[in-house]
Amino acid sequence: MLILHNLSKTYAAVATRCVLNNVSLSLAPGDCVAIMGDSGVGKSTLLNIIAGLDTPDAGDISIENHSLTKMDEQARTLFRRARIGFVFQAFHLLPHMTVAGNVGLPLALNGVAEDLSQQRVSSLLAAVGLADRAHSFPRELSGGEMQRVAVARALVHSPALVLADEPTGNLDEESALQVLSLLCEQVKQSNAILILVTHSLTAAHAMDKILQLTSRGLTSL
Amino acid sequence: MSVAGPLSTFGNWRVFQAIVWQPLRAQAGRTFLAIIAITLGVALGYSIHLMNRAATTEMTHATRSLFGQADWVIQSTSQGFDESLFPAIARIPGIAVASPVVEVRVRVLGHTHSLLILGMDPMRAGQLQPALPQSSSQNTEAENEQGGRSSLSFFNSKNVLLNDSAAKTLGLKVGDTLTVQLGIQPVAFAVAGILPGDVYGQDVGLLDIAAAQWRLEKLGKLTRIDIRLAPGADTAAVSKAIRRLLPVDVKLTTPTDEAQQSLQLSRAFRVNITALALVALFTGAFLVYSTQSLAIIRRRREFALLHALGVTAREQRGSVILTGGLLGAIGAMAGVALGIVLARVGLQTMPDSTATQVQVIPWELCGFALLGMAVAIAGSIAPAMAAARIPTSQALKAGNVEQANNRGHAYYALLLWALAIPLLFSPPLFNLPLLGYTAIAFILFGSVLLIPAFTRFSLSLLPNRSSVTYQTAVAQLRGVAHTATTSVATMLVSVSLMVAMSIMGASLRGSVAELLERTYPADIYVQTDAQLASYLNTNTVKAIESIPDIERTAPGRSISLLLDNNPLPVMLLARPTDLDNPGATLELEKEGEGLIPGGAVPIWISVSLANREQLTLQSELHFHLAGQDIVGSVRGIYRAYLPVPSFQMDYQQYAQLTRDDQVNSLGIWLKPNTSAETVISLVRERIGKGSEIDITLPGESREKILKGFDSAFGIVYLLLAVSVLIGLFGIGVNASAQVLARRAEFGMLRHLGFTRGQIGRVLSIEGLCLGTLGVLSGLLVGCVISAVMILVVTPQSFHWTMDLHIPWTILISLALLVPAASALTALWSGRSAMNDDVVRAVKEDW
Repeated sequence: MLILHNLSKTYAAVATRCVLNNVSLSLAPGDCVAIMGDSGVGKSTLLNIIAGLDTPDAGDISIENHSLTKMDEQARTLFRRARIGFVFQAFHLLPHMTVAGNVGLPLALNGVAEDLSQQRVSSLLAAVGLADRAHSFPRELSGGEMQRVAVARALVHSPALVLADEPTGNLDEESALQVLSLLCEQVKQSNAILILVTHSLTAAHAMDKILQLTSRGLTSL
Repeated sequence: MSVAGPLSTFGNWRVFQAIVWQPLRAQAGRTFLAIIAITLGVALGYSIHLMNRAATTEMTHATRSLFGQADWVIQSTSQGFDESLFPAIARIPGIAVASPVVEVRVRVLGHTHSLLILGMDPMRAGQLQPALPQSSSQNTEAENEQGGRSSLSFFNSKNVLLNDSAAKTLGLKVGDTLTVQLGIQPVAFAVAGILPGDVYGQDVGLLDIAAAQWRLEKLGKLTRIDIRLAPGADTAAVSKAIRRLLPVDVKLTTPTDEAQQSLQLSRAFRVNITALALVALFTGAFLVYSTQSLAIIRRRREFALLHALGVTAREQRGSVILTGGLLGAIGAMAGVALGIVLARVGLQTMPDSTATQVQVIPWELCGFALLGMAVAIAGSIAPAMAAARIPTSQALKAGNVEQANNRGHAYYALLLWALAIPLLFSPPLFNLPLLGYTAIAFILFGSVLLIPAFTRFSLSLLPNRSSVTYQTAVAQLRGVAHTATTSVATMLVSVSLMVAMSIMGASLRGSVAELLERTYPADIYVQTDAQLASYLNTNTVKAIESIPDIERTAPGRSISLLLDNNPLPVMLLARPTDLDNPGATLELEKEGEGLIPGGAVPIWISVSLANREQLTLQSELHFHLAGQDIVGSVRGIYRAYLPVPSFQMDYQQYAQLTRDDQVNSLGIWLKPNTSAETVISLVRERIGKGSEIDITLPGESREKILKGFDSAFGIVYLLLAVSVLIGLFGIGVNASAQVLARRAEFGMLRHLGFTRGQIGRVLSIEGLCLGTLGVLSGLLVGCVISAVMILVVTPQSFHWTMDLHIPWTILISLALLVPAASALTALWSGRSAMNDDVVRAVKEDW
């Protein structure tokens, strides 16, 4: 369960700018939602706050009954390690590690035994259609393949929440739809929650629900 | 899955592999160079330490062995004492053994080595040197086996016993002839036996004491008396009784004191060389810092991703520090191994070194290995903090690039410089320039901290030009100032150390050369080694003066003396001195006027003696010559570069006071239009065949001394070369790291239509700019450090003062070559930026 309660965030760089204003949201396991909005409205900020990479000025975030706002940076990081998965627009695979190594990294971080880890990685790579590329390096993959590796990495440690920031921004339409379909399918199978931030209506329509972020908060489209 | 996770992070091999090991492997070249830098630093430090220890152990052993089991030693402070002292001493109650010794160091004809000849009473000496009687008996057996030369006896004045080490050094065996030089006369001895084993710890020849006094011109004289006390003797009472009998120029000391004094003489040199070795290690640490900093910049998104995946800030810092520790550990282990090899090679090749054994003590080895690791870890701390500060969400955005973060720490820089100032005016600690070295470290660190501001300011001054390659290069430098700062700082460190050492070396050498110009005014010099029993006597001098082509001569005598209340020796130089114009032959720093107190002799003292004895103009220096108390009145303080403090008095006064007719040097002035070669051959005739005396022209003497200087400072130049090498490594590492970090940028430029040549020009311009900034800052800081070396460190270490001599050729070469080398290195390191792969780099997410 993910609950956002009256989240607010203001940046005071040159002039004070309110990015998030009383944003609230409640999502249940298996939910796949897209968040859309104009550039600069605060989509990425919201995602960063949910991930514990940034902190809100006000409000609360609760994931599986754990309040992130009550945690310090160290605790948020450890929580993120165990319960959150990420998919980025720019893939962000470690270039010096194989596909299997990249996918298995969250398991290694969480101290999962190697034999269990190998089984889980193989299963995820098979699920994303890359079983035969386990020993390839990222430079040997296409963009679509790299993003499928990133999806496998986001799901490998069975997170409660998967955050995807423009995951199809660097892909062609066909690859994008394949990746999104795969992502939703895997998230639902693992009973997690998926939040997708995107500008693409096509990508957003691949989700169960579309939310619009504006200066007044989140509204359903 | 638990929230806290079971991460004892780096104990988990897969995490260790992903975060630490794989990135190191991925940048194997730079990793290798960083390891090499640490290896060289540790190897130099450890090898110097091992060589120092081997030499000091050998010196202590040799000095201690010389006295056997003696408790005390009665020692002459000048040229020996009357033998009548011996029976008086031997009769003092509480003295179990008193062993008289005549000790003379002689030149061995036909060899470059000298030999210490000990004349002793074998029965008495045997009680103090247990190896002696046993060795003698073994030797007798050897003699019989070799043809029954039973007539050869230790008591025969024509025989000498050699210890095993001397026999090996000189290549002599029983029955061979050993010819040594006394004055200018050859004196031959038959080798009657060879003492096996390590007796005396240095090359020694043994004579019966009566034979030594007779054949080595020491009739009625002793050099020392070794004493062993009776068990339960009242040491205070015995000491008092001995001191009551001692003439003014004889002192009572202990073998331990003698050994310590031998070490004291070389202490300053050893400490300074160790400090220089640490400089190489520091440069290595800075290279680790530079490598790690640039890796952080290059792996910016990787660190951000790892944080997003749950690696905590503490773990990120830990990974960088662990990486540094790993580099340090590998480098340090290789360094101590290389250090042992270097020490062994060094001891075998060093001239005049009798120490051959490198003794590796486990805790010392571990200490140096840990030092290597510690500096590598220290070099990783700042990059580790930077890694943990990377803003995750920003860094993970597509297109995000490093933000210029070159705020610098100007206040800290100024604070460090301010802290350095009082240190520069502080006296030495433990007679060593420790505060001077600390000031240098503060100046260097302060300068490094000021580099961001210097770089930003300098880059802002670059003019605008229409060339697109120039504009691109300058924009890049201004935009990624942090990277530029690291490169410039690396060059600042290596160049400034190069400059400082070059200026100091040139200044010292130049000052020595100037001094030699002044102190070698004659046309020809006849010289003997003052440490050996080689000399000219009055008759020989008169014979030389009778050569018609000689206008005049100037005799000189050098002897080693001990002053009251200071166990370290001083050198007395007796030379013809113009009392009205002493500056004609002395490089005077201070010159006194006024009357000389009655009964005092005018003397001129070296800066080192003035510092050691706290003397100034008009001060009185008390010393003993030929059994007399002499009071010297200081008339001037001169510059000298001898390893021991010295003072000079007029030769005529010396000769009158001592009736010493021995001369160590004779300057010869020729009549006009006279051939020096002809006179030299005539002088050789007068001296006679069979002796080995140096007869040189002033230029040759100067050259010989400067060659000795260069040889002694060879290790300094070696360290300098290593520092340069490490600095150049740094430039290469920086350039290649930057190119790797900017592959996408170069790919974009190629997409925009930049040719390979233009990319190359961009890299060259960047390299040239960074190299120029590095050289400029290095020259400035190097000059400041050299001033500290010349004005603080060297005077406090060696009591040497010198004039500033700028090695223009070296500095101009540096100013031209380093930017050029930097441009070429950047171009070479960036060759990957010019190939076709880089075009695809725009699609890379790293």
